[in-house]
Amino acid sequence: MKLKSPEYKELELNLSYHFGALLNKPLAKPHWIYISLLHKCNLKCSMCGVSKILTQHQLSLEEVKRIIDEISSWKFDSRIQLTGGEPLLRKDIFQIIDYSTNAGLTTELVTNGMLINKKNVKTIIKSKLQGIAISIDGATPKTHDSIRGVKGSLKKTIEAVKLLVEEKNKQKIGPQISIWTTIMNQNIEELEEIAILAKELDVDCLVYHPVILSQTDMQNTTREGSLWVPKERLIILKDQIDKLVSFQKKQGIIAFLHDPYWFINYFERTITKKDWKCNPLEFIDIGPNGAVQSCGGDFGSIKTMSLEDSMNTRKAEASRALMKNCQKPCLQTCWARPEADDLEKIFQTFFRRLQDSNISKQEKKNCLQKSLDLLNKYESMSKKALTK
Amino acid sequence: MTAPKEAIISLTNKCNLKCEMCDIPKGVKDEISTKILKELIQDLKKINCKSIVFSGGEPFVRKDVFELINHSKNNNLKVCITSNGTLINDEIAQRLAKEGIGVINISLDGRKKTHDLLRGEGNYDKAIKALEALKTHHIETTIATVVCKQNYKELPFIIRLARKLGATTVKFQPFNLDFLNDKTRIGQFYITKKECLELDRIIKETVALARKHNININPETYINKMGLMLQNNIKPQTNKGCNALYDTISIVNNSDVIPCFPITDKPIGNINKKRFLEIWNSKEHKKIRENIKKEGCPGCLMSCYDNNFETKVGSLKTKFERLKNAISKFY
Repeated sequence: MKLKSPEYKELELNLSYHFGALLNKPLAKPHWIYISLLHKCNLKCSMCGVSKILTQHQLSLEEVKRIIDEISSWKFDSRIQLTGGEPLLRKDIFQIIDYSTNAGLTTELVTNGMLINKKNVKTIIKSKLQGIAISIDGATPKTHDSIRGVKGSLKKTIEAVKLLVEEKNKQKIGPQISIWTTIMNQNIEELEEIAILAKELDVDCLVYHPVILSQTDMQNTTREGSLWVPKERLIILKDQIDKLVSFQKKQGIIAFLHDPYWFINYFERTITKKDWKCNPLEFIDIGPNGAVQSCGGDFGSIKTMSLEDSMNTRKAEASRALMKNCQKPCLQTCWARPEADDLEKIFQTFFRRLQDSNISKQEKKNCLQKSLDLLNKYESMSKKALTK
Repeated sequence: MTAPKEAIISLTNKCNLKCEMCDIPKGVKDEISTKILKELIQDLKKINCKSIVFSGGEPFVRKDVFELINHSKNNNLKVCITSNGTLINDEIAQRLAKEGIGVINISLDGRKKTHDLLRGEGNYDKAIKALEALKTHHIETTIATVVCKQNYKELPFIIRLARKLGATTVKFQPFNLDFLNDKTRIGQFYITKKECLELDRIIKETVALARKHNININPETYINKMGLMLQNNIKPQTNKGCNALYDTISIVNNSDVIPCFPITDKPIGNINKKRFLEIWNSKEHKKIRENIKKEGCPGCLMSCYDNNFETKVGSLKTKFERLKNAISKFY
């Protein structure tokens, strides 16, 4: 009997992520799927290693469509993040967006916004994108432009955000407009100012992530490098976080995806896996050359196998094992699933939701019976795997 | 640095009983003052500690027990108290419930005859009365048993008793020569090889019984070594180190902060001289942690740290059993 209750579905999902991570089997599909449509970029951001590699590669439109077809066939709530390089550099970007959204997949465009103008803003807003994320790394041109490597980039980006917000208000409907800020040594003094700017621009949401250490081709930061916040400047960071917390209480818009004071522990290097760990199943990245990977290393290529097959390769297993042993928790919220970390917490949530729900007593009993069956199934799976 | 989830604080060495296998009451007469304890509790909260265990001696001989429970609750810390139960009557149990006590751990060493032999006449009945009173007031109870020559045959009885009285857990602590100052007496409590064979069989029976009735006990890998521990004091080594300094921390009666009970000669600091928070953040503390990590653990028998023996499969097994129990309770 297929249960439709959302409480049970949530339990099922969390358990599949939990045991998938524990037993190193892809029991759940990735929730976040980043597709790097190309590595070419019109900026030269200091914390980004992407634009330095694989710049001659690009997934063809057919390949992208094939990937989307496969993901859509899973009927799983995967989120497609269209990224790069700068996705708007691709002339077929709107065909890609339409293909993904028409397949019923929640799609977000990750962009620096510099190529958004009066000509294409309407298309963007009227597309069925669930979200558009625009990077802003400073409240002043001095800071933002120097981080992003191009003079005038903050001005252009702010104009783009204004256009988007204006058009969305006009259409009365449109994608969620978010600003993403990477916290690094160069911009810690401006974190509150960025929030003020975001509020002025009337965006829907502002998210902060800390700069991350080099992992495969993602970033080129080191702990000794100039981008890392050094010990003596952590007090500035703490002061800014205090301000962000009070800003959020009064003005909203900041989405804290974890305790914001962990940013300090992160740069202090005292954050441990007990506080924050990745779930190796949570996300994958498909590169412009077709390589499927997560931060433990690559799994295979969609040029020679299906996406699903690539997640079942030996390389995939090794990569996930590496991720489990990673000693550098990085607070990248797309890579973690804290609600699935602890087995007892998963069930506590399930019980609480069941108690609060309006479904009939009989349905609740069915859910409980099914949850027991599920638990038994995972128990025997675990026994087999762990006593090998 | 990961902060310990639990702090074990000895409130006193004093006790109203004179148990045969325990020389704790003969220890130092110092006690940590109420004021310093309250500061300690606040500091523990600051490092994100989740629970406190008040131990001793007999914690209930102190007059400020309820004040300390109240202060801990105000600081959002869960409180557990270990006790011989003789000073817990219905009135005390009611008050404990009102103050929001988390768990009470009662020492029980076997059937009435055996328990009273070890702990003094009349004390079995008092312990049982305490467990009953606590149950009436819906306080979670657990049982602690010191396993020795005198009572090793009665372990299944204790499981059945736990079930009857609604205790959720039974923790077995094998007798340890460190419990006594006068080492000439230890022979009274250790077992022979022949008795050990019998104990191994009894352990199997006990474990099965505990599983059947869903009573939590020590990890199997720990329990299975009890026979050896009781014969010639083998100190079992865990294969993955000890999390004593990481998951728990102890504060003893002379106000020393120590990583764990066996390592009393390497105190991290003293809360009479400095605040706990200062000690926690000090360089000395970091150094000691690193040294302990480097030197490794010499091994100990303390059941307080028995979850170090837990294997991955073992801990999963326990989790599964608890969850299935919770699901069926929800029905």
